[in-house]
Amino acid sequence: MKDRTSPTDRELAELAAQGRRALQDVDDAALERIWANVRAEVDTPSGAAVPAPRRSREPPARQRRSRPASRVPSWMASAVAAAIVLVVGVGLGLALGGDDGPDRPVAIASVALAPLPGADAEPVVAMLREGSGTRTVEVDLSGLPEPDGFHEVWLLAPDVSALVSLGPARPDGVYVIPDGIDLVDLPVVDVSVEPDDGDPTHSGQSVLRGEVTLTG
Amino acid sequence: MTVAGGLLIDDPSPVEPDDVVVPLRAATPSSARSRRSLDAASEPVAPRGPGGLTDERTIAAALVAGQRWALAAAFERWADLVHGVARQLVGRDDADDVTQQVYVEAWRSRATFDPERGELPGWLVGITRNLARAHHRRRGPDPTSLVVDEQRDADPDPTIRPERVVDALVVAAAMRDLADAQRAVVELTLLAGMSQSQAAAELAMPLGTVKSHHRRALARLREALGRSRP
Repeated sequence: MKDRTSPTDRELAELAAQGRRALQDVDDAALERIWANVRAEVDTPSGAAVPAPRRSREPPARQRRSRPASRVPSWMASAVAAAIVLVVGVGLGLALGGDDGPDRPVAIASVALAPLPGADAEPVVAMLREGSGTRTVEVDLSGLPEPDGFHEVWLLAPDVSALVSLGPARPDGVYVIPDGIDLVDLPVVDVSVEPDDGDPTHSGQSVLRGEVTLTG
Repeated sequence: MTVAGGLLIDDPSPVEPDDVVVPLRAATPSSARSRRSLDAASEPVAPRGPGGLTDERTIAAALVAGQRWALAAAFERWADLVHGVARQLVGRDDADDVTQQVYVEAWRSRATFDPERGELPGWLVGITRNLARAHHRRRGPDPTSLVVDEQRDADPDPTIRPERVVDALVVAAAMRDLADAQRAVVELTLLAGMSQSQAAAELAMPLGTVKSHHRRALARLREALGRSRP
């Protein structure tokens, strides 16, 4: 029931400015506590954890950044320099506790891959991991319907102006990200259906896509 | 369906100016650089999927499908909105509890969310309103009306009345969720007080495109506002 008329442009501008300030007025520490409580209420008895939201400033994130610089891979150093916050493995309910040696692959982020409109696919979650200086995208594509050709995994720029192939679908679901690829530039994970024609270029038929959300 | 070898974003909805179809080329690592024309004009913005709405639709679909990460994503995106609204409706002391209840309720009633009929932030605000009403019913009228009356008498400034602040939060959150290009335009035309011509110059964008982004953005902001009002 709208008993107020639609706001004018000017009123919208005032609301936007005021609202922006009001949104910043929120207490991050309070939100962390609230989220912990939500999770406690929502998690199943079997222990399937709801991932912590990216906003959370979990202690392991700070520990990670305080490691000697030589242990921070160069791509992450540049990411941190760009003030990018990634979901840390602990926050995802994975790699809990202090077991993380620098060589054990750690979950860096999760990427929700959504089906493109009209694509016959269910959403899946891809994981970004890093270990021993190697970064991987891990995604289980076995649930996709049998394609006419094969599935291929890509990293795309948000405006699709650049892309790199991570290769055709693999049974182990592990796709190595080549050195030198900056996830700031190519944050979109894409799964396409490729015809068996020997043409290495993207077919244009994407079935799943999702983006590592980077906050600047 | 491809266009001259380009990657067609196979979306049946009307093509937004920022749904660009570009020629594809397989990038070698050294050439994998994206060009974002908005970077020069504004502060760094978070990269989004084509159209910007992708994120909310992705989270919405995943939430309805019972994917737990979607609840975390919805918290990460809109908990400040929910908390801000809760604070206006039940006061600071109880806002934390109500925010928690909103997200628990959002999860439990996720199957009732219809992505066709609205967007997640508006739905969450609606749940917040419902829970705030329940909160007041439990507490009884006196303590809350005391808070509201005190507020009104102490500060005759109408811009800080609860419903006004709720409107402001909703508009700001909706602006934050806009597609990159639309957001860049209205940050200049609404927040920086520029004319559309000035914004076009600032963004190195054709005036017609700026007008289109401005119009669509304001339509989305008004729609978000309309849906969130009781």
